[in-house]
Amino acid sequence: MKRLEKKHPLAIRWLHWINFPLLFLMIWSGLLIYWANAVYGIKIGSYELFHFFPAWFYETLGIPFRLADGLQLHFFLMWFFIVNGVLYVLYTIFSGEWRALLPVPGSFKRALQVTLYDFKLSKYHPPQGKYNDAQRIAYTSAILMGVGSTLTGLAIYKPTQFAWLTNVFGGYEWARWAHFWLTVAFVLFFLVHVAQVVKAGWNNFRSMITGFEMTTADKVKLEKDLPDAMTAAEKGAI
Amino acid sequence: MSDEKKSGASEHRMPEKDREILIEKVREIEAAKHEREAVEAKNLEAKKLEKENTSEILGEKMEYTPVMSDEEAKKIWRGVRDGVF
Repeated sequence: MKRLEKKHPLAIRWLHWINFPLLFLMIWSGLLIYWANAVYGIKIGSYELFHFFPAWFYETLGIPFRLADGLQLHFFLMWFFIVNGVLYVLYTIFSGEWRALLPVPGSFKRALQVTLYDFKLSKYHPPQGKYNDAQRIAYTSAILMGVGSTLTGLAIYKPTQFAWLTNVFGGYEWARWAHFWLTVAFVLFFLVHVAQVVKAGWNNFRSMITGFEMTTADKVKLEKDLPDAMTAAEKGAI
Repeated sequence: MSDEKKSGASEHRMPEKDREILIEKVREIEAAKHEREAVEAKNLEAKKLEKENTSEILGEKMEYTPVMSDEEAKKIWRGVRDGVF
């Protein structure tokens, strides 16, 4: 026996898929800019374990000497990135979708349990709604990272006009440092997100396109919401 | 001396029929008690799970279609895929 779960509203799907190329292009154009003054690395004392980035990395991707391209692209796309992010946050607030996204204090314990389960170190999977607690923490962090990237970005984009903001981050150098590491965090988030999507399978991925996920009847989590949770129009469509 | 006398119990023996009725009654009470305990345990477990479910804590609304056969689900799914649903 099966049933369909209404998983992702249309607005969330649109905003998610618009964000995907936007974030990619923001990171790409950011790399074109960063190349001109590539100062960061992972260091232990004075010994540098890894420098962002090795010469072969830039050469392979055709990055060198494209600072102007990077700046123009970055400053053009950032507005779309910001507007898309603001719309996403507003939608989640007013639609009530935040209930599916936000973590609570107990989420951290349950996120650890989910992680142990994912690594097959435990057989217990805590109960969940649309997203598990690890997802809730990750997705909320991604939103906060977006806010952080925007603010640090503005601080280094207009350090004179937004001098107060630049000062909040401890000056231009620290704002740039935070902007860079937030981008690294976005890349890590993206890699884990894609790995989890691959692991979750086609049915889950498809739901981010169609909005619905096919589930077996015994997997329904909140019986009390059945079947009245669907609107009359949706019932009619069935 | 019989066991009953030794223990000071009444010499009056309950008729066999009454005895059976009494045993049956005790069985009924025991069964009801077990059933009640099982329900209480289930409710306790449900409450515990509710406390450990962020979705329940925040009042997330989940939306499902009614249960249907695999065939029916596939048919509707084709509608979803083709944008009819």
